[in-house]
Amino acid sequence: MEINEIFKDVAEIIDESCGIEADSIKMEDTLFDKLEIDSIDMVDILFEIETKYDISIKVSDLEQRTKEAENEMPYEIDGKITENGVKSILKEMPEIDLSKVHEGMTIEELIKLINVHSLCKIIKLKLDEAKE
Amino acid sequence: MYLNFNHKYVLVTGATGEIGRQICLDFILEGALVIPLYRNDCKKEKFLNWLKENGANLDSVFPYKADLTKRDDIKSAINRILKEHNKIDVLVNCAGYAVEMPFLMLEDNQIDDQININYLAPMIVMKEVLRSMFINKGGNIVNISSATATKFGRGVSVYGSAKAGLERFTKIIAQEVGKKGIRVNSVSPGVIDTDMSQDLIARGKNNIKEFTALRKYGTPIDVSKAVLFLASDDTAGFITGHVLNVDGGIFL
Ligand SMILES: NC(=O)c1ccc[n+]([C@@H]2O[C@H](COP(=O)([O-])OP(=O)(O)OC[C@H]3O[C@@H](n4cnc5c(N)ncnc54)[C@H](OP(=O)(O)O)[C@@H]3O)[C@@H](O)[C@H]2O)c1
Repeated sequence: MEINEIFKDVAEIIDESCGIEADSIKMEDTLFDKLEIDSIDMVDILFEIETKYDISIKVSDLEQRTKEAENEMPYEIDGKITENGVKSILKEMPEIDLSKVHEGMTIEELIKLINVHSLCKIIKLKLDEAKE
Repeated sequence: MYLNFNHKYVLVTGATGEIGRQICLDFILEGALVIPLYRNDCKKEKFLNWLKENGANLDSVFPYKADLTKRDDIKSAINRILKEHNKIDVLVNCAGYAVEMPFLMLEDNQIDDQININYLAPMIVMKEVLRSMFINKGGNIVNISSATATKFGRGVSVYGSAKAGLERFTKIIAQEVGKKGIRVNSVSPGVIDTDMSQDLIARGKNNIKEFTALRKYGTPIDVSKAVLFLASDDTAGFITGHVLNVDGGIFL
């Protein structure tokens, strides 16, 4: 399944769960900052995605890939992203606003940068894994 | 009063108990499709006979088996229910277990079981059921608590505190899921004249009635009517996070 197709579904799911018009949603919109999706709506969205695609997905999956990529070196210390963490984010999450990524930023700050594109990517990854 | 339960699926835990069976009966008589959870086959047969004797059409009853002390049992039963019926509109957590004894005399397993059945099991059931309520964009939960959550503590340390936890949990979850159109409330019965309360009634002699404003014990019907009231969007559509005391005004 192509990322654009997934995006269409995700925009509709966000529309249904949060009442944000699907047509107004863009790939680069951050989930928590721009779209102001709160945690309960996020749960709703993830349930809808799981049901639609028959996959299992958690909020932590969204930044989990970066941790897996650099498992040799610490990705974060005391909740703050390390130099290695930054490298890994640049490589694994090019879809987010990289100008805001810096050493010492908190995990919460990173989560705020996660956008609709990140969500679509993780769905694609899970669908591809399920196919294998 | 029109409660509007036609074609609604209502899951009731502790359905074979005296209060649980009354709740099932009243929902059925109001047109609901009832999914009783039970753990003992003999008790299930007795329960079904009782429903029939009291005018219920058993075509509206879909029983499933689960031991509420086993997480996997709960999950697999609810999974099967959702596969076969697609949705649960109303959940009533009615199963309960009390051992009345000074805390220091309780066996470890009696402590665990009281916590598991009165507190943990409703949480596990709610987690599974809420998922489907989110997907169906609505639903309703009523937890059966107990007056011992806030009053007369002696001899019911674990039971009473587990029920207090359940009441607090009810309020917090009501806050969390309210924006999804899901209401969560509790009914807190006082002394209801059932097997569960016979020890208490025997020990209290007439004292309990003395402390009760209405000077009588409650009946399973009193509890059941309160549950149906809270579960109906027509009668209680703007009520959530509430603990409704059904206790005749005990210790006012
Ligand atoms: N009766 C009262 O005066 C009173 C007062 C305040 C609050 N309450 C509350 O009201 C609710 C109903 O009470 P009741 O008087 O109807 O009690 P009950 O007759 O003893 O019924 C309890 C129900 O819970 C079920 N249950 C217990 N352990 C279970 C387990 N491990 N797995 C599955 N089911 C289990 C029982 O199943 P089995 O039939 O198989 O045992 C039974 O169906 C309870 O939550 C109780 O705490 C009662």
